Amino acid sequence: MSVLRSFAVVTVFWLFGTPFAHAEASCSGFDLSKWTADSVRDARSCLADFSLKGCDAGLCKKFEAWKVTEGVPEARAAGARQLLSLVRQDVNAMVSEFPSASVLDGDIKQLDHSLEQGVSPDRISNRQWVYNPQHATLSETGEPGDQKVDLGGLLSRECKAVVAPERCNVALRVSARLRMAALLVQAVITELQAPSRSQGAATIDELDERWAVYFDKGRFQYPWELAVNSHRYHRDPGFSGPPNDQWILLHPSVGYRYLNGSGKKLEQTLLLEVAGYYRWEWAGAEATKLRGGSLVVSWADTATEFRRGIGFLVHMPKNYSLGLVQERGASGHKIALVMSLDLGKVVQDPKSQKASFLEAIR
Amino acid sequence: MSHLVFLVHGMGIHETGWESKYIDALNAVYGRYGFLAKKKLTDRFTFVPIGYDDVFRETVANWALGATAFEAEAQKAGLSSTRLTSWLKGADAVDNNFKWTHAADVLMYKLFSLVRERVCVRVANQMVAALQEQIDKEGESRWSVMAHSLGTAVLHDTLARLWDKNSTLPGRDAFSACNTQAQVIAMIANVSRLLETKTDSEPYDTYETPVMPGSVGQEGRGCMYYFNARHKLDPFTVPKMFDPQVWPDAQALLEEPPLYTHVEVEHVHQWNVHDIGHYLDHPDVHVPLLRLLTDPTSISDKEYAQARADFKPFGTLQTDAAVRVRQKLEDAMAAQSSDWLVLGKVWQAFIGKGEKGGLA
Repeated sequence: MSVLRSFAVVTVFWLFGTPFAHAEASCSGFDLSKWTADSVRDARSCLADFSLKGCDAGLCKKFEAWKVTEGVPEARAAGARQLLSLVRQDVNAMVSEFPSASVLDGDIKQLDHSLEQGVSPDRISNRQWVYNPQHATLSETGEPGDQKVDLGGLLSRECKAVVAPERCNVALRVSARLRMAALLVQAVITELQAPSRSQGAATIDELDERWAVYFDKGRFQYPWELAVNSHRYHRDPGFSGPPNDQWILLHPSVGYRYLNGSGKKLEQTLLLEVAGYYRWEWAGAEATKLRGGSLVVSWADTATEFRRGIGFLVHMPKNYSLGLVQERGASGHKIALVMSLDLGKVVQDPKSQKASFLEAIR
Repeated sequence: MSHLVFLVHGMGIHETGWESKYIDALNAVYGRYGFLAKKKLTDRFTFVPIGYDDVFRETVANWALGATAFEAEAQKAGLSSTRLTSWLKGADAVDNNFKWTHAADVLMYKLFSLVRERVCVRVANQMVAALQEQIDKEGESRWSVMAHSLGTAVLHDTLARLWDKNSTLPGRDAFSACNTQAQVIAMIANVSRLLETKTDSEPYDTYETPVMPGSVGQEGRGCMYYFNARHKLDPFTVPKMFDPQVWPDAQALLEEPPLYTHVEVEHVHQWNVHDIGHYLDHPDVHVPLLRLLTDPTSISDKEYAQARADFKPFGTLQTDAAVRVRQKLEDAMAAQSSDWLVLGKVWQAFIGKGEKGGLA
């Protein structure tokens, strides 16, 4: 009989948990009145992990409705001030329970005043509303003697003693409401900054695309050319885009030569661009008006003789160059038309490069 | 809340999925602490890998392709003297090619401002895009970053540009240090000072830029907490060591926890003490880091003391083997006064032996 009774007790405890054990913290969802915690670190963890993602509380819905409204900046700011007013009402309702909440109230009032005065949202820091999990505080400024909302102190007082778990729950709920209020204020400022932020992000994205064009689609540079062009590179403060020109130095490449009267018509030749210059203009992320040229020496091993030449190349878009070289060989001086293929690209698609050349000389 | 944690890799080849090594290393230590482990690491944080390795790989591959094609044609033409390009042949090989897969990354980054700028813009674009997405979804940005080795220099230089007060970038105020302040910047095997550029056009002194800790929203302070971990036997962290004194100011150090945390460890569990997993394994590295990323109460002092007591300085290595490894590491050590060029010799002695050891 006693064995059965023990089994029944164990089963009840297993099914429902021991009535003397602490319950796990429950702090999911946005009905903050249901949040519970029974230790300081449970409560702090709830606050640290809190976000507005998926928030369906009344203030959140109002925020979402304002967020999608369109209008001139002044109208948006007016809408933001109405929202801030509602958040303030919520914060004020907590001052009697937690006097430190008045610090947050004062900060929101100051923010409202700034918006009223027409201060650009970009000049307003949104970090003031950030929760610092190390101290469990809001409105921390780091200034000596700053007045912050010390949620950590509240939770330490109310959640340390396990004799009154409901006090811990109340402290957690008050803290969570203040945290939510601060998050909403931060969200409002962040939303007001959206145009500026989008512009900044778009600029960085365009710079990234330009750099991709410069390195991936532009003329390929050997290490010594990269060193010279790096040395010449003049950058702007902050992020900077790629240059709009490039020096070419001792740049070996492979090309084709076309000699009028030659039996084979089209033969391969080695080229060395001794020195050259290439420039373009940026139109968004596109390089346009590409132009440039190089002094070049050439070597061609024909079926009958070895010919050396000297001349110039004019750089064309799409990584190929056309030029003329004066060749010397056993059969005398001759002028040959040459095309240089940018080696970094020719290995990727030699057939199309050759086709381009044939098309160019027709 | 989705606390974004950017992961910035170090030198070497990092193929798709490289971040799992970092996350696994962090997860391994995270799971040792009961309170933290109640919530999965990946539920607590959203890890965002930040890669820039492709910039180096593509550049080196182009060199190798160009050199190979030229050599082939030169030989056909009977030209034997191709010394101009022959040293670039094979630069794109990825196996046992430490010179080109690791050392070249650092050299290109240090020597070529064009490459450096391209890398920083690439990194910034990834970070800004992730922050934008977070703000759009949640109305706030909450982020931290953990960088390793070369990644520490890349991260510093990127953020120094983002928060440059002289920047003319449109919308720069929305991305100013006080509007996009990180919770934690964690630098593991910090070489940012070794690779810093201090010129008129790139005035990014690692002790002076906004990549420094400050109070919440403080002007010109890019993070709330800066965490710096160095292994005493890691030769990369010795020349021009990142070890500021009373930094960023006395007030920051009086805070609890201090806004700047510097930890040094000297355990030897493997030859490659530069490895990020080897760093994170030590309680003196991961406990302060996890506390900063979460909450100081998430790992109790008692748990921390127990973790330190249980931690074996030589891991699974036998004492004799550990002493030998340690001696070799000390022999390969660079001097604090050495500049970055000295690391070329260190690489030969140090990294060459650990090439398959999951470097950087």
